[in-house]
Amino acid sequence: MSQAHNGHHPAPEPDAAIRVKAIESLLIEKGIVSTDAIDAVVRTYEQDIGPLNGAKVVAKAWTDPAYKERLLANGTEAIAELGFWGSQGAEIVVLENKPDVHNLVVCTLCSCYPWPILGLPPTWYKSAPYRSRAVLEPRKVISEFGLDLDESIEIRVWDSTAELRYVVLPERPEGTENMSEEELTALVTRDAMVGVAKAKAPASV
Amino acid sequence: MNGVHDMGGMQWYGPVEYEENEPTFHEEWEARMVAMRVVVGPKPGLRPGGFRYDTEILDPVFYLGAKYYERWLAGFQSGLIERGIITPEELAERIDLYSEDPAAPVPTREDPEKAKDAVRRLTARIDAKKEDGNPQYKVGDLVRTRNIHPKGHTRMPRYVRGKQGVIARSYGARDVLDFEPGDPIFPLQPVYSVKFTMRELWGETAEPAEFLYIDLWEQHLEPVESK
Repeated sequence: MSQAHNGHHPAPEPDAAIRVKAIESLLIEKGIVSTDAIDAVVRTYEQDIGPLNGAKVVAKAWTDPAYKERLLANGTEAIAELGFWGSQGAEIVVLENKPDVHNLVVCTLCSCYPWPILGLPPTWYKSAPYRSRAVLEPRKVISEFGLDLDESIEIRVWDSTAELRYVVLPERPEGTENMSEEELTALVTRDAMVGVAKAKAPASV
Repeated sequence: MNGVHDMGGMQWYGPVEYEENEPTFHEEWEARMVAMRVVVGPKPGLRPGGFRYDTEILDPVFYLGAKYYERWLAGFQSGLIERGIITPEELAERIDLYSEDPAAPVPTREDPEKAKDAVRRLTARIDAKKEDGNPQYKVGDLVRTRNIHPKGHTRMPRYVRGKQGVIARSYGARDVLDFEPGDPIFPLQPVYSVKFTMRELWGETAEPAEFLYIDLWEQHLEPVESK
């Protein structure tokens, strides 16, 4: 049943759904897990831990210069001011995008990602094409997401190899001067906070 | 280890496939499994980052062909067996049961305290262990990454080894993640964000306005005499 490398390739495993049912049934019977515990954790992942948290951080940074300064100086503490923390977010570093500097975050070795403010990573972030090419040809990868960055714009790619987790503070879009913090959160996408997009223009919302 | 997980710079994986409005979990089993991992909790005494090595040593063909959560499931399943929580025999028997009747229900049990505790562990604030660490390097120092190829777990990918960069940030000392199986847990060691030009990494055809920042430990670096 082991998938460890032992010189030959293993036979295909039984269906994952069936294996998980088998495991859950055994762990329930042994009292190691409970149904409500599993349900509660699933709910937390699906509803509470997601990019809306990060969007709130960004919107606050856009509207409160002192907060932005704190956020760039110590991302972890400033993010904690809004009540966001937890697994895979013990230390968060915020990278500021500017008109001539664009930041991109990747984990080439696995899938490290700042869960407390972005949730679980999307499949593309964990995929071989992204992990391999983000450090090799970032401008091309970003353009495949629909964002063309002129070659004069400096691109900084951050490979998350330690336990520090990186998140991008995207530029505030033009024409948003009169928007409230709450309205601004709707412009901040997960993709913008990873660095494969800019924040949305106000007309698009 | 120089495994297939060390993907930075590989060229044959094609375009990034993007799914609009991707759900957190595509299949119910993914959600149940990820949640069970949290509820069961980590093996006591696990070394920092040790779980990543378990994935790196999976059969390379399986690793590349599996969906992401299938790799987690492989590790979760073998971990439960290794810890003696379930036996291979009872698992095989139960798999047979559900294979024959996939609609058979999973038993249920309610335990509100366990539910509260699991969510608490997932969402509790964890602070990184930090020390000043007496760093050898400071921001602006030129460094060269060591040409090392550890067989165990390392967080220095191949694409940055033996390259010259500059210290961009000095974070202070953190948990050491590199290890060979059987190593003790090491004392905290200074971690740096090291900046490389893409040209240093990939050659003259790389773009001049692109830079790579990567977190490396002091043991990964050696000094370069600046001229």
